[in-house]
Amino acid sequence: MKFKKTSLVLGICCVALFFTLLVGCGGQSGKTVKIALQAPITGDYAYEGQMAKQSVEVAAELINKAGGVLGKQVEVVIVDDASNPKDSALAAQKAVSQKVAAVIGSYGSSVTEPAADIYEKNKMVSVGYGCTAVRLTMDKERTYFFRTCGRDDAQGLFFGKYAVETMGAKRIAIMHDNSTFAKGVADEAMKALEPYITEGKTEVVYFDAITPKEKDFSAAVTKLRETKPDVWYFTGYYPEAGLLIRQARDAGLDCPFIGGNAAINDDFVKIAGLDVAAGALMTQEPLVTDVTTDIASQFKSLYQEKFKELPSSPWPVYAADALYAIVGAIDKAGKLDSDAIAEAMRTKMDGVQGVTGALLFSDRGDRRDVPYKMYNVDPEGKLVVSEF
Amino acid sequence: MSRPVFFDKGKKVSTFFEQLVNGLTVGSFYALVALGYSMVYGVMKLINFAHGDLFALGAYLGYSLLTGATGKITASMGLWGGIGFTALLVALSVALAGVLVERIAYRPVYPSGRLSLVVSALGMAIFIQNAIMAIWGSRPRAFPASVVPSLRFSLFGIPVTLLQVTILGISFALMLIIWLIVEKSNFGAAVRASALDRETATLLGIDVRKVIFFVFALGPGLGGVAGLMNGLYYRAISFNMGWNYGLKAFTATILGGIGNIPGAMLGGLILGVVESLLAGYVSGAWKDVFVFILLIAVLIFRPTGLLGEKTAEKV
Amino acid sequence: MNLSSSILKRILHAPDNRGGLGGTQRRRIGIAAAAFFALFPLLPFVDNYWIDVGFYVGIYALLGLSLNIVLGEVGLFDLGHTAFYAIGAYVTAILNTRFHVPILLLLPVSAIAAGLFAWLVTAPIIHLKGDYLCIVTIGIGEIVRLSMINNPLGLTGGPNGINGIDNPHFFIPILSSRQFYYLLWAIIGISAFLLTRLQRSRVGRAWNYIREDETAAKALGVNVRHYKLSAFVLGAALAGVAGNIYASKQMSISPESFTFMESSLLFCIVLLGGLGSIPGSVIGAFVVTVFPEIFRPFAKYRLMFFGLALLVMMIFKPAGILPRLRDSGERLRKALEGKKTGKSRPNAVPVVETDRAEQKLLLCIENLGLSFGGVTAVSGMELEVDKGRITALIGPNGAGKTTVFNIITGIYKPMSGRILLRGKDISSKQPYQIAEEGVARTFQNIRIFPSLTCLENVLCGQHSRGKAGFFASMLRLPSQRAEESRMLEKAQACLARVGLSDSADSLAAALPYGKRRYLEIARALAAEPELIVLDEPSSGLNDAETVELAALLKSLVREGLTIFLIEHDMNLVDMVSDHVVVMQSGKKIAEGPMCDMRQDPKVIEAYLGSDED
Repeated sequence: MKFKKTSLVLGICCVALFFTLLVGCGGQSGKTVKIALQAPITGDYAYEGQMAKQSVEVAAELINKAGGVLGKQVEVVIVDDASNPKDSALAAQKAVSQKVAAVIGSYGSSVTEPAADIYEKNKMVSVGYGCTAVRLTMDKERTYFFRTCGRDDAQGLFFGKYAVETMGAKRIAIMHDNSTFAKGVADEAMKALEPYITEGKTEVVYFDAITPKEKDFSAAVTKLRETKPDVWYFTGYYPEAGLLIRQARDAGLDCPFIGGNAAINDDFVKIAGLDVAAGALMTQEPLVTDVTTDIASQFKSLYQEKFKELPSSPWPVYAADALYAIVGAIDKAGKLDSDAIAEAMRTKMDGVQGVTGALLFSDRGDRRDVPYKMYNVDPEGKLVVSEF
Repeated sequence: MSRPVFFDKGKKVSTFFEQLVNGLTVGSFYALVALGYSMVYGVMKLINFAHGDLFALGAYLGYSLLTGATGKITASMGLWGGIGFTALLVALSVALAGVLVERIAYRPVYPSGRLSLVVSALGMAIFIQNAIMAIWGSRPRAFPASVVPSLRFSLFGIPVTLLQVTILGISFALMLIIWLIVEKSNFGAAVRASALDRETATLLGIDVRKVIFFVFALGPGLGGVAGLMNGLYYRAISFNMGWNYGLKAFTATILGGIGNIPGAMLGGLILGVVESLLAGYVSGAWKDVFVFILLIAVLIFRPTGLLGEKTAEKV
Repeated sequence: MNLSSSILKRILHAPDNRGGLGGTQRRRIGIAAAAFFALFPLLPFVDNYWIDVGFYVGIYALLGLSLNIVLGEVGLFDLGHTAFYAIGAYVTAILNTRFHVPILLLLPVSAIAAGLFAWLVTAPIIHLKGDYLCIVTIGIGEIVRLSMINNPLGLTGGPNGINGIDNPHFFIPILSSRQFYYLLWAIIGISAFLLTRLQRSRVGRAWNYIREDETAAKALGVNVRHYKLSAFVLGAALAGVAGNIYASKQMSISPESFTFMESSLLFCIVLLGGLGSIPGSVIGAFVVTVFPEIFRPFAKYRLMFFGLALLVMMIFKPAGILPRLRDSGERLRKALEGKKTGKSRPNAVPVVETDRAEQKLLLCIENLGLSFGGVTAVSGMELEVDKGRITALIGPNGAGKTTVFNIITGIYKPMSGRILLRGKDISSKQPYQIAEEGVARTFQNIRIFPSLTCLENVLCGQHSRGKAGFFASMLRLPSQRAEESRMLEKAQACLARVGLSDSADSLAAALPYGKRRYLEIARALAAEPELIVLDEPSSGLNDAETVELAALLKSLVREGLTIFLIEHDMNLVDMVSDHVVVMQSGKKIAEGPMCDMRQDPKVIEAYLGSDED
């Protein structure tokens, strides 16, 4: 009896393994061009991963309607990295095994790092869409890694300039949440402020972290209030941002709130409540709503049609742009060879357009000319570009 | 990097009290969740890891009731009536869920011992958390402002919200009620007897199954209401909110002395206050490190928690 | 509902010592599994992805093995094991990226660093019980993870972690998935081999004794603190090795890999596989890693299924997939025979024979006092036990008899007074030291080690008579083998002495009640004590069995043993005792031969005056 049970369990394991092996096989078939999306479909940033998946699917549909690439249809293969470095390495290996032409991904910087190493080793082009850490392109020479999103330092610089020169802030508070991304932007903002500090134009009165996934930040905002900041920059994510701003207003902190580009979206407004969210500022690349290119309007209408809403954060759109970039590069290269694609990404991207505009890359793989804008939440709760 | 900013003394003192109130609010949530942990532990000697996720379930059920198709509740009963009625429904349904969890995940595993129970409890926690994600989605949900009472006023110079006062009040009332039930009533005596020694309790004619039913209904029911209150207070809920509260409440339970009802309350409140003072005066980034160091330090000197009785080894 | 009774219940699910598969079947499956793991990467349809899955199965198997030492062997709730894994990974990453120390050289360094760290953090808290230890380990896990995030001294790279970690060089650079796979599985093979040796040694058994019954273990000479700490250190060191390999394979590490969830996963691996079972840890790792991979296509339902699967496993297979099989005496002996055993040295019994003749007084208790929270249990107790005699301690319930025993054996520390053994004060010594001094005991409410075999139970007595440590046991040095075979012999002799030879290989839990008493006595005898302390040996025995017991006790005394017992059964006391001490309310009220005690008015009053008994 006991023996049967155990062998049953073992048997099931083996059979399951065998079938997955069968499923796992199969390479680049002739009819389609396979492109993998490595994204956090499960795990802590599952909402981002799922929106990225939807965006990439919409982009693929648009591309296919327009005739695909090299006369073939684009097929998107999803690999899940659960926003965890170990799963990321496995996901990358899986994408490699499926012999895709190139990979979109991934979202977080410390998750992208091991995956990028694997793609590099296997000579496969990967295009990150949410990984903004400077070191991804600056620490190591990577031939096959690109990204459609901007870098933390660009955003930090933009914030520093705006806060000091436009707002004339004398006392600046910077808050992050100890995640790779938020700490990265916060550190870069701090660096950008250093020249102003030496000139005596401003000072940083607060630099500390909150714990993500917590809900009560009243102690942190009370401490923040006591430092009497002129402006308060929070570089973390919107769930915390929404809670923070409301708790800060409740605690009587009235200084302008500026969020980093993961801090503000529709959910931020919902969580904070319109009364306090209105007027919040955000350093951000142009949102899909503010891009008026043809591709953007097609993308928006198809996305709206399929999912009854628009992506609530900028990153999924960069994932879609990563697909546009890859497809554009394949088109320019004229073949599915990784070296040719990488070469095309660096040098031949003139005229390749994505949802957010021209897709040009520097030698190190960073996207060129990512513009930053200051957005604010208008009284209706919509994100609009601040005029200044 | 942050330079100290000096204010007049009075201001500093009132800020300190403000931080204390902040800490008590956080702490009362920890305490409410810890209470459920502690009650279940007392009788079952089981760490119900799913408890935090039942708390999250309460928040989501409350969200759906207040905003969904049945969102007419607030319209017909007024804001407070609607919230009260929702709380009742949430308490009942999460209590039911708690009892189901016990039936499905714990009762069959009970004979195999505590380690297996820890794994099935972890399994249940993972299951509930991901079921919430599958049903309500992975993006955080926000309670619309229309269902959240909002009034801000100043109490002895400390800015507080009406909701804060209400939450503190309700938390303390619930804790007091639970404490009275467990410590003073006949049924409570049965619960305590079962906690001490299940076999002897059975011999004394106590229906231990009833007691188990009771703690698994009351603990999670309470946790569910705490979840709803948490959602209303912070307005935002997320599918993985249970882990954090679960872990902190478990810490609070141990800090106070596991299986000890006043200990759970004390542990929760102390933890909340300590966290808030650390975040307010030391460092937000290092806060949890210090919290755990403090816990370990307490346990080195009081190996069974603050109010836990030092039991002499029975040989 | 303590740990040992829970394990007992697990065992009772399995009718005999064959929790699932028999030994031979197991070995066959083991060989098949080893062959599978060895050939897997060479199979034609296995691509790098599946080799990498195999690699991560390996990482978890190694971590499972390492947690198994702490959780499986010693039964310590460790839900923060990832901390040690993280220390290993970070030490490797920091030393490699900053000082370019080669990865393989860092392998032992990581192990030592993780072990040292484990020693530092667990030494102050090792005395905590069950769930309290559990939360502290969770705390340690979180402290380590958060500290890595906060980038102390700029060493850990904050939330970004550290990148650019080298590949290992083992004559050739190890680069490909396949090479990593073989490197890792070779390490797992070696670890499993050494751990199996450890399981079959004095050290491994000591761990199990603690898991089964900590009090009994320490009363019989196991230095509980030492073995608990050593389990943590060894477990952590192995986790450090896993961290080293993980870091070099991944090339970058960040705190996100070392979360509480990861620790919980390790906990599940050990329990899914089977507590204390080495092949079980590998199977557990296999299930936990491969299962979610298979369910990846179901994306958002994946973890839901995983949670459900854990539940279902615990309901239908609570003892795990491959529960630990206990070794039979024959198997233990065979394991020793492999090569020639070293020369057998005489047992290191601390009692010098000449002492026996000179000293008549063996144990002397002077003015002993102890109270619990204001309630006096023992006060001003005086007592003497002569060598080579049977002394009985009697008295009404609650007189403090067992407390006296507990003080003698070091379980309680007296508040006043002294206990002299052969004229030497032992009152401040630890229980295991007292056992080493030659005092062995049995317990009122039998404390055997239920899920170990009878032979292993008795071997516990021999623990304090051996000294082979970790290295001797892992390397199976000649001295260790000689010691083991001597211990085996002695244990078998002791089992034979109480007539339990036939049950040597059956689990203690399977013994009927009366025989468990004898097993306890055999265990105490195996400690080669000078003084044996028996707490109500006749309780639960019928008349015939009591007579048998009396005969045994008398013959033991004839062989030179001294017996001190608590007894309620006056017939037994009458039959065996040379000297009787009567206690009431924590004090001695009378002493002398049993026949005098029956007439003593104080004794009569003590018994009649109290309603009990």
